[in-house]
Amino acid sequence: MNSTIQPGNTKSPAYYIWISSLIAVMALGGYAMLLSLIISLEILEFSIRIPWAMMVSNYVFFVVSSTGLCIVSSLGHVFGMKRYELISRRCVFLSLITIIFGMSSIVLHLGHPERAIIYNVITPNLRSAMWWMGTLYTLYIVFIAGEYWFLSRSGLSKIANNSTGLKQKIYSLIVFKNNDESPESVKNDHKWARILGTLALLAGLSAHNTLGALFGHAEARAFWYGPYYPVYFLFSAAFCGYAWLIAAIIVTYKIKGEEIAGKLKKLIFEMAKIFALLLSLGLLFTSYKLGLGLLDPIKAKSVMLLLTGPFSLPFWLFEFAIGSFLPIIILLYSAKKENISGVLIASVMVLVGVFIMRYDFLIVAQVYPMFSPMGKDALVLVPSFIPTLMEILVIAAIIAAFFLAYTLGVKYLPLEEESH
Amino acid sequence: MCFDRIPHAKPACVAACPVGALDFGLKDDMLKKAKNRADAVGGYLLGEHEAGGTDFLTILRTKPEEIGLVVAPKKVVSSNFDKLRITSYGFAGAAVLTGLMYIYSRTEERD
Repeated sequence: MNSTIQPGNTKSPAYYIWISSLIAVMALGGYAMLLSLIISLEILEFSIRIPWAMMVSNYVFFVVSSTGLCIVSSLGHVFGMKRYELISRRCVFLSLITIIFGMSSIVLHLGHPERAIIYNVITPNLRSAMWWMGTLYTLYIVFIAGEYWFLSRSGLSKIANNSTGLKQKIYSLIVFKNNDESPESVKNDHKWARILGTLALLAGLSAHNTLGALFGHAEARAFWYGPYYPVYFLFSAAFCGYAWLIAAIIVTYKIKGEEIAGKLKKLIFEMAKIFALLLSLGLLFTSYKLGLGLLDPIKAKSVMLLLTGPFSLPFWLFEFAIGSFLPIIILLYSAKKENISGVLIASVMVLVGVFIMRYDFLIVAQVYPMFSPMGKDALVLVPSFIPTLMEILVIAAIIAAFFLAYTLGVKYLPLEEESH
Repeated sequence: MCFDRIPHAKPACVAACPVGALDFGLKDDMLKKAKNRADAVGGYLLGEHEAGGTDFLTILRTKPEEIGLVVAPKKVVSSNFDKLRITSYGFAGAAVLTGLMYIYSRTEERD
């Protein structure tokens, strides 16, 4: 533990502009959300024919990222890889906030959020993937939060012991007045972090499986139905986790003006290679899905929407080029040339590509109505696939809240890379 | 349908049916009642086995194919089994992923 904990002392104008613009976006999204709860959810759902739109795709995006971050962080604490322990605090913190904002995205699109929670408890349906998903993710949040607390307790205690007044009181309260910084207590923390990390990984993987199963069980939506999504979601989670972690580390260091050196630098290039490997695996999965989909006449309709139809630009440009093909090349090249910026660019490209991929995957399966009163031949496409302004505002607000949480986390919590 | 009426009253169509041709209730009760009725009139109960058992039961005087109805497939695999099948693939995937993580973590010792 030779790293120093300095909750960011940045008081630059750029910092305040950043924070205020995030709050402004959140206010706009809050207004849209309020309208949707008061007037009708229809202002968020762009078509009654497509019930699952951007709120759900954003949920899938964040939740998959959270599981991915949990997978990456558990390499350190659960699987005992010393070099990954370096990044575990930042990784677990990111995992915690991505799941929280992901869950808020799905809960806010229900219209009556309280009902979901009440009926989840009083009338559990054990045959429903949605029930399992909600329950397992709740457990997952508890485990992840506990893991983060144990990982950062000594760091928080250090801040508490080195400060005075209100700040000391608040930090002491967060660590439950357990300000012990001795090596024994740190060792004990790590033991508990390992136990909770294992539980979080188990809960996370199971919850993630039920998220995929939610789509896989949908027999009426041919594009989703089958065992493909439960499996693919797990592997896409792994590369999303790497993308978030690498992007967060590099951006934070660049903004703070600190240099990434030594073990961390080595680890980033190692992660970049694994990341490229996982992306290639993801590309294989996608080719398999689309190739096999073409053989099934009902699935082929959705597949053709992606390949040549109205979704071809998002698919070929964002999903394929920006989301997986180019990043693989950039990652491998940057890892070889030891170029940090290249790794950052590739990670951000993957995040943008995956965000669009989640939207496409949801919409293409719902575009064709399940039945038509005019008979089979009269199946018509819905007129528009573009999300409404209100929908975009709510999503922007959730993403802004996520960035705000991360910025405040970097400023007030010990997230620095540690070595022990 | 008629969701707001359900806890207090029968659906409007059932309540309004002057000859009592429609009924509504829990599936087990309805199935029992419909079977008795089908036996009594010597008819056929549509929806008992079709597509693994439907939520809408109809008593026919004769077999469906004789009055020009399409014979629905009697699905053998239950939807519960199908759900388990799909979910188990996910767990297998999770096991493979955990295995790969374990293999990756073995690179630590050699450093």
